Amino acid sequence: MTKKQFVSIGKLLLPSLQGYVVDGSIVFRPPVGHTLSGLCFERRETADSFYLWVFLMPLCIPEDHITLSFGKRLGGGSHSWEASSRELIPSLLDAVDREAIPFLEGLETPGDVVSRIQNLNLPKDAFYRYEALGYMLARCGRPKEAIANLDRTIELLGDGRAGRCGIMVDRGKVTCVPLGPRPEWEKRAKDRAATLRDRLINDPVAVPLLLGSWEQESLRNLGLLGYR
Amino acid sequence: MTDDTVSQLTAAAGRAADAVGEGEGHAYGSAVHSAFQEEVDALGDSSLKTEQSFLNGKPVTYGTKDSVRPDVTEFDGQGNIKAVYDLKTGGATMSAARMQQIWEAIKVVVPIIVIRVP
Repeated sequence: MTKKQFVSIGKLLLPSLQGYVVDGSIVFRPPVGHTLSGLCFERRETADSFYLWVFLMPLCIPEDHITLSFGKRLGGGSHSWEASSRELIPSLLDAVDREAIPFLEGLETPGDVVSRIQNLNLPKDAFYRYEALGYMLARCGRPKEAIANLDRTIELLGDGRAGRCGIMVDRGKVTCVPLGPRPEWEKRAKDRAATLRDRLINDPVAVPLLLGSWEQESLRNLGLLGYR
Repeated sequence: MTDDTVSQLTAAAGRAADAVGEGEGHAYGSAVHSAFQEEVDALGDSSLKTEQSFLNGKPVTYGTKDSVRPDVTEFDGQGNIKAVYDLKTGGATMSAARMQQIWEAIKVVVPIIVIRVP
């Protein structure tokens, strides 16, 4: 499936999504502020089928790609959609009405996004949950709660790899594989969380500017600056 | 990871290989992988997710630069990743570098189980 095909399908979903636009493989509602939320098409290796996600993505965590930590595939689990099916658009519209719209409603303020993330069924130790809460609570002007979540983020991104092994099983044989050093992305995410934490404590006036610059960075990287 | 899951996935790999027929090389491997994913999806087991890509500890879309996509990711009831399964055809093996890549991308160090066509 190509982006052009996704744009064509996305446009046929717009009657159910008042005020939304299609850009490449995403469908969202401008102007884009603190959070990008909407639908995201995901191609599969099988030429004719795709997944469709509903998602929200706080933009003050700088990213250069769409992340789906706070989202789900429409239709559940591994459900995919066949582009050549005659029933494609009615089925998609039905799934959008039943699953996507309730997910996308009520995400107006950063506080709304905080409440939504708090209520999603996410793994207890998922660093990205605390990271998103830390950043969005900072954006809401709730520094105490932000710091508590950033502390947990920093803890979960700590280096617990030294001397540890991972396990691989092949043909019934178990192999212990020594883990490599902590990945660069973990160091970067931890340092960034620590920077925000430090600003919240020592220079709170600078926090909105810092978060605003990270939002801008995400929008630029995603090619969405024009929708701000 | 349970023996049951491994047995289920091995059986799914067998059905996928039967459906594709005999062959070799990259095209054959791709065809068996696609058929395997269909078989796994058809199991209807909500703890097993196919074609889920990861980058920097977060789920992302297929084709995101530098992302990693295990053939099957197994989750527990709370959404934690329990294990990942990689289908190998022929004599293909999994390199240590590939294992590190998977653990880095999913952020958690869970068992990696190679599924082979019986």
